[in-house]
Amino acid sequence: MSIVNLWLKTFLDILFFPCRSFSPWIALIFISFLTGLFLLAVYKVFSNQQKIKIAKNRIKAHLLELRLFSDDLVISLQAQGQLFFWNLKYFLQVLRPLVIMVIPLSFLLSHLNLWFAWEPMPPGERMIVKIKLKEGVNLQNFNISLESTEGYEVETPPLRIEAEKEINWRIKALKSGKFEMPFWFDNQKITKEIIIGSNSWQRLSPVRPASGLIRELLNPGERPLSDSLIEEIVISYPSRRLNFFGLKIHWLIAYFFLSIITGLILKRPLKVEI
Amino acid sequence: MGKAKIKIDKNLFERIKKYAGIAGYSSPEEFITHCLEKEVAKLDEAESEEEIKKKLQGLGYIS
Amino acid sequence: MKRRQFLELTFLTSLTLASNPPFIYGRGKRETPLKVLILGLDGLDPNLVSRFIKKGSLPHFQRLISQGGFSVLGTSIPPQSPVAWANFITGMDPSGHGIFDFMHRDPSNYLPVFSGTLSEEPKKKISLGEWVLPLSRGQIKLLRQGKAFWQILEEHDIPSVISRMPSNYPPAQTKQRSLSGMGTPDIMGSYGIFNYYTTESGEINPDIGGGRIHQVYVIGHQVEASLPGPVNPFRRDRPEATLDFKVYLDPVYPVAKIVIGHEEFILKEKEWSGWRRVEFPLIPGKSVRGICQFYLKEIRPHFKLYISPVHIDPANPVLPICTPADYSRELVAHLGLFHTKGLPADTSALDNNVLNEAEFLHQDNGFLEENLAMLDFELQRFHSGLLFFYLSSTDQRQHMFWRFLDENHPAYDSQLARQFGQEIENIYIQMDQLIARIEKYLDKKTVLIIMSDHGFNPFIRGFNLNTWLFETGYHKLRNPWVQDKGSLFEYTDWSRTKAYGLGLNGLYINLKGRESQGIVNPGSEYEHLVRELANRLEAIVDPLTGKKPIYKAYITREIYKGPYLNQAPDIILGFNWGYRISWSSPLGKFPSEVLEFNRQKWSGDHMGAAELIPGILIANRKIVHPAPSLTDVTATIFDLFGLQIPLEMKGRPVLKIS
Ligand SMILES: [Zn+2]
Repeated sequence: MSIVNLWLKTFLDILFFPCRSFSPWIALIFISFLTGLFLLAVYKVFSNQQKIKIAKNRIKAHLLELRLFSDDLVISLQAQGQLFFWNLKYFLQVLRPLVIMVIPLSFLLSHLNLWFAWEPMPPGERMIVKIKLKEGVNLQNFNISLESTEGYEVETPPLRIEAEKEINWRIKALKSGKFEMPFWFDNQKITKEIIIGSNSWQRLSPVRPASGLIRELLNPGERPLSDSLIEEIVISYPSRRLNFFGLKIHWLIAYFFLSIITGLILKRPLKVEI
Repeated sequence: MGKAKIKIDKNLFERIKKYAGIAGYSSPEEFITHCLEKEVAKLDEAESEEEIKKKLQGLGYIS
Repeated sequence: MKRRQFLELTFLTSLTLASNPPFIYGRGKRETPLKVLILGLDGLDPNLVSRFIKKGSLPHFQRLISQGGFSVLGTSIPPQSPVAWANFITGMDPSGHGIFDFMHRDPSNYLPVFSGTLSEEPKKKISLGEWVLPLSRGQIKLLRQGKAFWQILEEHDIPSVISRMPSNYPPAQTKQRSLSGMGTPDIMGSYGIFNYYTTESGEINPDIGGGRIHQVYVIGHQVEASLPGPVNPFRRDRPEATLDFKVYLDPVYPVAKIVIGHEEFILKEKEWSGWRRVEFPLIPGKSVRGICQFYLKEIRPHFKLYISPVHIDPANPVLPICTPADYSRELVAHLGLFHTKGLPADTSALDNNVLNEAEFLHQDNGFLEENLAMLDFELQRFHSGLLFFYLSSTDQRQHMFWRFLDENHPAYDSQLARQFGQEIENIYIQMDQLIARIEKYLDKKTVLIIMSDHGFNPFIRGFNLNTWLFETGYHKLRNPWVQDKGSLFEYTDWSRTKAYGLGLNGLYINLKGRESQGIVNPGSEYEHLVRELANRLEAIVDPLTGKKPIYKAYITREIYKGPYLNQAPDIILGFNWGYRISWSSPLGKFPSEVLEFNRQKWSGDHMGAAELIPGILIANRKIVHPAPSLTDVTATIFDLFGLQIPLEMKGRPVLKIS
């Protein structure tokens, strides 16, 4: 898992490097284009293009039949049965490339989320840092402290919320940059990355999770924690919305839309049957 | 409009029936509805008075 | 400001700019030879200014006066801010603009109504089970009559910016930039209702005006409560919309997290949250947005949380608070969130010990800072025409801290006086520093006018007008033994009542044909009654002091002649120095005593006879008129721009143009 995450992270870091000083839209359009291409390629390779073509033609034919013989009950019923059968066949043909796509796509999505879903807090602003503990850990006996650094100041003592199994702090951003937050407990140090900045677009990792397949898949920004008591460390970065002529939209919507458009435009020139 | 039933003391109902006719209502139902509407309207108004007072009281000059 | 907001707003602004090139506001773009900058400092008192200048506390005032002029400024009758500023806005007296008090009465039911604004719910609605859907638009109307001076300037193509002008909600129609001030309600539609959550039962009397006290409990280091919002007009039973919230307390440290709607923030004991957004759901897809401040007063031994009145969100105003419609949004983009409710200082919270003096000052200083930042912002782009900017802190601080100026005030407290005895002087000093702060924007062609609407005097004794009317037989109650119970004339027998008091200075006759249950005949019966009442009121002597509580009872018909005279009280009380209407008479109550001591923290006021508490006029030009009044300043504006003074205005220009 870590290997895949590291590889993807590096890949995107390199890919987006030239886009960093522009609007996130540029990078999003770029990656959506690549995704569209990639999806078409997977489709072409992992589906039986011939069979899809046949299925689609049959569907069209039966649709036509339905329209022409709408008065004739027997033919209509037969056509409907055929339509259902060929739809199912088409679906089975499409299923394979779809299943194959899902795995790399979900990795990609959780990585793109780091880039597009959050924005850093500018100096002077305040945010909440949370440590979530695993079930069964006693909060009262869990002595942990968070230190201030040059990038931020810890403004409150730890706030322990038994009901949520959480410890919260309020920090104030002081200086732009990438910093390490040191948490101390039992003479052990664990860290979490924090990014403070005013107007740069960059990858942010709101969550450093404990190790675990799903947790790591969903939070690929940092290496998983090896300690067994902590479930995750979370920074409440503000969420980012993309501006689309005054509308504030979530990046995922723009991304899917753009990828699909890419696919639809390129399927003819690349001769892909979908 | 929907209708709901309510229970009422028999003696009272007899008296209502008597006076409904005298007061010129076409039925005891009409009489009862009219009476209740009048009372409810009073309460509605009382509530809006309370609302008025609350809204004005934020003004520091009065209490 | 939060980064997210910032981005949203920058984007919004850039959109606005793109769609509205520099001459965005259409009319009013002429380059004027003179620029006029007017600071409206509510309640700035000429006696105190003189006193503090003598003491040497106000060097910038002193210099300004030596270069230009200083005068007392005749105030309105009555000298209440909404009335006085409306005089200035229209250049007319109250019978010309129709504002006679903070509140008027509805002659059809004798209930008090807001004098400045009428809100009407949609007339056509349909009911669908529990729900009510409006089919037409409701409306909010400014009741002040007459043209505002900036509307006339606009007709002459002269630009103006009018910020926080009282008696201007909703703002008068204009393409110029204007932001409403005093009279702008909170999101409940009220003059301001704070919420206070406490575990200490009986700490605060729950039956107070201007706030609600909620008893809460700490269970498992958590407090669950809800914040009341506006009435939900979409529901048949019209409940209040509410927003539930949770507070998580640390078991040991004095720190807590508040989670409300989309907001989540941590406060230490005695910390303020700054502005937070709240959203009250009405029906799916429709909600009302507001902003409010949280103050975590105490965590242990008792949990105490104060939430300010919920202001209209200037980034998303649900009610019309500015012109053009995106002006408040533009200000938020540059300055962050700011208060929108008129008279934002929470005097009710201080008066009821929910906030103490230091907490009250902390909050009001924040409001003042927001205003000063806004003034700076507008001054930076003030190149032509007129800029008016209003501040309420001068008025509100004098109301709350006057008790420390006089050891004999019934609310004087020597310990508090040591700590806060300087606060009134301090706010005057802050205004002095404001003069220094704006100096860099003043060039040769800028005329600076500093004005107030009225002065101040102590509020030591309260006069229960309605009790007096009851005792003298002009007002009859159905059951006299419930005299001190009830309010809003609950027990009044209108069929035998000749007069009633409502509002802060008003006395009305129960006039046949005007009041729904009027008994006094118009004509000579009315004239005689009014004369008789005025004479008797002026003759009252306070047995405790030997002074006359009412310095002058103005018969409205004798002092005013304008078209809106028919809406005026029949008599306007001008109180003597140290006196005022009592706390509960304005809302139709009948306390047992006619005269009573005022022991509240609200200890200074301005409801006296106009001649006793004039306002102030200071300018960087010579004042040529010996006894100027508010309407003269309006005339002066037209004169400075070389315009003819409109016929309906009575004032004369008072500044020398050189
Ligand atoms: Zn005042």
